[in-house]
Amino acid sequence: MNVEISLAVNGREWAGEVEPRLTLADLLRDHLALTGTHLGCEHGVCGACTVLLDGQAARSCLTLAVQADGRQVTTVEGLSEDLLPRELFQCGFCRSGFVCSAEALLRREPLPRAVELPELLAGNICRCTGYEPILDALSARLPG
Amino acid sequence: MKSSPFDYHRPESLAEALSLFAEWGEEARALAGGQSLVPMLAMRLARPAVVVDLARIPELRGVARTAGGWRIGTMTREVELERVAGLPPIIAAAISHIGHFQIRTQGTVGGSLVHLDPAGEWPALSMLLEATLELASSRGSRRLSAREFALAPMLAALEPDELLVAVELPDCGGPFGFEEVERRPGDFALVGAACHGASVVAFGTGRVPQRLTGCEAHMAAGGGSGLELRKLAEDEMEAHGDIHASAAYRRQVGARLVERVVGAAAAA
Amino acid sequence: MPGYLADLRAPGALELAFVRSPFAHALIGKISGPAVTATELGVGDLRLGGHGVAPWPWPALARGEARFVGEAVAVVWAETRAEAEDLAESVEVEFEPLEPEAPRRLFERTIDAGAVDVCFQRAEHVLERTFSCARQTPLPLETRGVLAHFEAGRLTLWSSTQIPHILRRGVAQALELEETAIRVLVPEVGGGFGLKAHVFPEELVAAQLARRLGRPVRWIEDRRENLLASVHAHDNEVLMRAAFGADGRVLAVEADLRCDVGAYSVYPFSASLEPATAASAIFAAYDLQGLRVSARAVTSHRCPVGAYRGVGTNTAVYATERMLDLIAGHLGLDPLEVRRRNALRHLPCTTLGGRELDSGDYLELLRRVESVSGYEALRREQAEARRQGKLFGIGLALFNEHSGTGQSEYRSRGIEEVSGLDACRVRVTAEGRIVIHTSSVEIGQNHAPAYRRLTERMLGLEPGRVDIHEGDTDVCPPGTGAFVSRGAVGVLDAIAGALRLAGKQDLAPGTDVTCSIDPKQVFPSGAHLAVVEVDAVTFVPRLKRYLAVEDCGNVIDQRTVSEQIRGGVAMGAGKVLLEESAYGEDGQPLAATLLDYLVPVAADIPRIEIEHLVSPSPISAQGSKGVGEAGTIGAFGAVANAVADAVAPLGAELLELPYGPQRIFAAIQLATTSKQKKGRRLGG
Ligand SMILES: Cc1cc2nc3c(=O)[nH]c(=O)nc-3n(C[C@H](O)[C@H](O)[C@H](O)COP(=O)(O)OP(=O)(O)OC[C@H]3O[C@@H](n4cnc5c(N)ncnc54)[C@H](O)[C@@H]3O)c2cc1C
Ligand code: FES
Ligand code: FES
Repeated sequence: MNVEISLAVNGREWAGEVEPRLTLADLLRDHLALTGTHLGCEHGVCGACTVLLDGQAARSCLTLAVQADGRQVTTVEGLSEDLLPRELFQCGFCRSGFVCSAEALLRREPLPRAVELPELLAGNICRCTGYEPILDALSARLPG
Repeated sequence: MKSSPFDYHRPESLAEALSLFAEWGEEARALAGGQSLVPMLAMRLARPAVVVDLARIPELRGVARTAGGWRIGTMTREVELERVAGLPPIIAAAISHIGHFQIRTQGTVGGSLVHLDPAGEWPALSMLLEATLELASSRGSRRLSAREFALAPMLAALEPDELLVAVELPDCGGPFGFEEVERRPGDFALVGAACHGASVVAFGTGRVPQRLTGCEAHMAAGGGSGLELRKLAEDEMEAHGDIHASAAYRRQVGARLVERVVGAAAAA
Repeated sequence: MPGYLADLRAPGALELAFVRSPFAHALIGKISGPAVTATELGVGDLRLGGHGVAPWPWPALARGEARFVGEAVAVVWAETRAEAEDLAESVEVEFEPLEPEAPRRLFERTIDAGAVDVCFQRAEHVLERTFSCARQTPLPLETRGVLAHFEAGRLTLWSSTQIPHILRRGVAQALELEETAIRVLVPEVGGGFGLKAHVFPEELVAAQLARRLGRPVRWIEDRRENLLASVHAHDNEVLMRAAFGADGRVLAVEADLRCDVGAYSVYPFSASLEPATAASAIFAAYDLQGLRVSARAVTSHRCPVGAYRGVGTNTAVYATERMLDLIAGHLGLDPLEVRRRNALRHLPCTTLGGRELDSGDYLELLRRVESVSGYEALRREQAEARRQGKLFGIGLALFNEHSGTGQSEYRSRGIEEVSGLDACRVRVTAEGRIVIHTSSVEIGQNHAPAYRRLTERMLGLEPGRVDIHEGDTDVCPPGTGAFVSRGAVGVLDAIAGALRLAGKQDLAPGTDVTCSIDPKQVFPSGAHLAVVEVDAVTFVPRLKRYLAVEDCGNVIDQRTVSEQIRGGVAMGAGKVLLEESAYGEDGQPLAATLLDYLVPVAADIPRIEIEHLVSPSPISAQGSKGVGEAGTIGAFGAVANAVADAVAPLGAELLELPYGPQRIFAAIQLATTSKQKKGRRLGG
């Protein structure tokens, strides 16, 4: 039994019918062609699929599309390229999740401190970089 | 890794939700934050016919100060709780260990209590603070102590047609100790211990969080928090082994944590 | 670039799902339901030829018997992956569980050089230990994936692969197609680390079904499949004996390696991968008078073993470096001093293990580690920390590794499928743009800037005229792909060669030249230092500091080198501290999620300090050497030794990776109980 939903993705309304079992990640990728959001585990650990749901960071693989009904979703496509630019990464697959997590942290009041970043970003796995370039770039925007 | 199909309901009132559960019983599954249920669906470890989303039920939300303590609606998300003014620090300390911030924006207090992971912080807190759980079904409502509620790993004392509505905690300000061993920040605890007032609990060790009554009696009798306490804790702690830690590790390290949390609760 | 594999738009594509074995070993009986089985599929096994390699191919779908949990037994398809999984679930397979089979020996490499027996007879000391390296899996963040389309007699295969040409060949063999009838295309790749340097059963199945069904067919691996049924690595046990003098000089070493390679031999490297790379890496940076190694690959009922960054060298360096620290401890000497006394002094040279070391200055590497780390002060800091009851350890590693393996090495292992060649094609377009095609692919190593710069420098071009285009077998020259750090060796040489040819034609529009190189192995080296603190209560180890002094010859692109070292170290630290593809006694995998298979997160990795030393290679044309694996290999020695050093004062000895809190705890327990026993014996 499909369900009608509507949501705003990166400021644009989308409405349609979805299967209840469809995750938000698959809705974004397969139905809205927003493939910037990546799937690295589909069980909540790797962080690649992180998006902003009503302004808060959330795993799109652990959110059903029907749960996003009536809500605002922001994906990597809706955020600035300059926030963690592509060159900081190697394969780049983790970038989408880091960008959305970083955006959520930068929206916090008060801002987190740079020294807290390694722990705060423990929910985003990168297999290539050793994390340093990502941490450095984000630290530069935070109090020490 | 995609879920098997199910039907979806999003009731707008508790009564409506309860009648769905009365109708579907074991074939229905409540959806709270989805942070444990959705991965279980994806791995097809759970295959409900009906998923009932509790997100739009006002009765299940909200945190209130009561005469004797706190009443927390089951659908309260960790991130909402973090922002409650005057929240007892022991709660803040415990929930800071739950997963990552991206998990805590969605995960709920009740979801965590019902999911009953042996290493979960909420089950441990509920046992430590002797929380009361408010359950409801279309047949009526009842209240259970945390101890009655926690039957076994991942198994709460809920009837198939029953929902958790809220958890009541007594006043729990004041000194406490809360410690756990995580391999990486955000991981489930390999082993944990907490102390508040005269209660001591170990978690991640046995089937469900365990009140260490021997240790509690020792403390009540004026015993110190040294080697003797550690020995008592080791002796009474149930512990299991898995790929991350042996039973011996959990017992021995758990006992050291007990010593620490008892010390912290006494010192502060 | 069109994005990663799963991002490709594939209208009308059917999604595959596999029915997989829940048993480690079972007879497959009747299969009922909507599935295609091995017999119906008609895809040949992936076969490996050649001497030394017992044929034990991994079938596209299990035939008659399943040999590991997760092995693909049948395949189904549907319009969506979810529906395909519904179908897969509805398939009923009659399994008859079997007892495990006795291990088969698939490959053996032996080395017997120098006066081993004499050294052991004469030596003042002999130490013997068994070291083991856990089973692990590369875990690129992007899982595997393939999209196959058969049209007008031609198969187009998009794959997230490190080896497009080898994939083309493997699929051609299995499907009995001409290689020219297949085009392999590689989109952006979300990390490989060796995992994607194999041809997999699922790729064959997808290709065959695309041909049969006349529709595009797509398979995206999920993480559970990836953890259970892609490739694993290592799972090696090394029994090592060292004969040494009171001065810490090691005279001779004997090592017996048992490599559990899982259920099947992988394509194209075969079961020789771990034993062959480990054997010659044992004590390879040190001056020995005798070396005897026997390294065997044996089967088990576990996931097949393939390549993972550093491959067998990790095991060899781990055992070597741990042994040197044990020797230092035994004699009460400083580990740095023991390395200084044993390090090879005169390069180039050929080691007893047969490595033709091209260049390097190992003593200088050690000197740099000593000065940059402030080694003496660090040891004082350690003494002070120990006085305060902290478990504070310092670990070192000195090593070399092979990079740019060419044809002769693969032939010596009986592998025909890997050409060992690297190639570059240079074209000049009508508009005068220079297009570089190589046999390599971009998998996150970001080599394009280096290739571009080399081109601009060699041709004296202003920036902005060079395009790099890889990962398309129709336009790229055949070659080996992207692994064993080939990029900085053979591929660069091939580019240089092709550019010279193009230069001779004055870069006239229409110029189209190809240069193919058979690289000779060159040996980058490094000395690493790690500082670890182990929590005295919880035994959780924390990496506090890491210094890598690396020598990869001439540096083509400083940034790429640093990125590779840093990422490699982080991965190596994870391999030493966290990663383990654990199995139960019954052959059931125990790490099927990322909550159980642990990889390092940001909080686990300190800032990596990197120092460069340059000993240009006299062999590769650019004087450069590969750098993709050095970080990981070094960490196997340095991080492991640092953890071991941290708990050494407690009498604990760590031998079995990974060094997590449980292993550390158990080692301390063992030391405490044996001390107590000894005490009782003395007292009573
Ligand atoms: C990467 C990761 C790390 C995590 N780390 C931790 C950690 O360290 N500690 C920890 O405690 N947890 C951890 N979690 C789990 C997380 O806390 C979950 O959110 C929580 O356990 C479940 O809460 P939920 O609201 O998401 O519930 P859901 O997933 O929606 O539901 C969980 C279960 O409870 C049932 N349920 C929910 N609400 C009710 C109700 N009101 N009445 C009856 N049944 C109900 C559901 O049917 C389901 O069976 C982690 C999760 C992830 C993905
Ligand atoms: S894909 Fe969602 S957390 Fe990994
Ligand atoms: S850059 Fe490859 S996973 Fe982060």
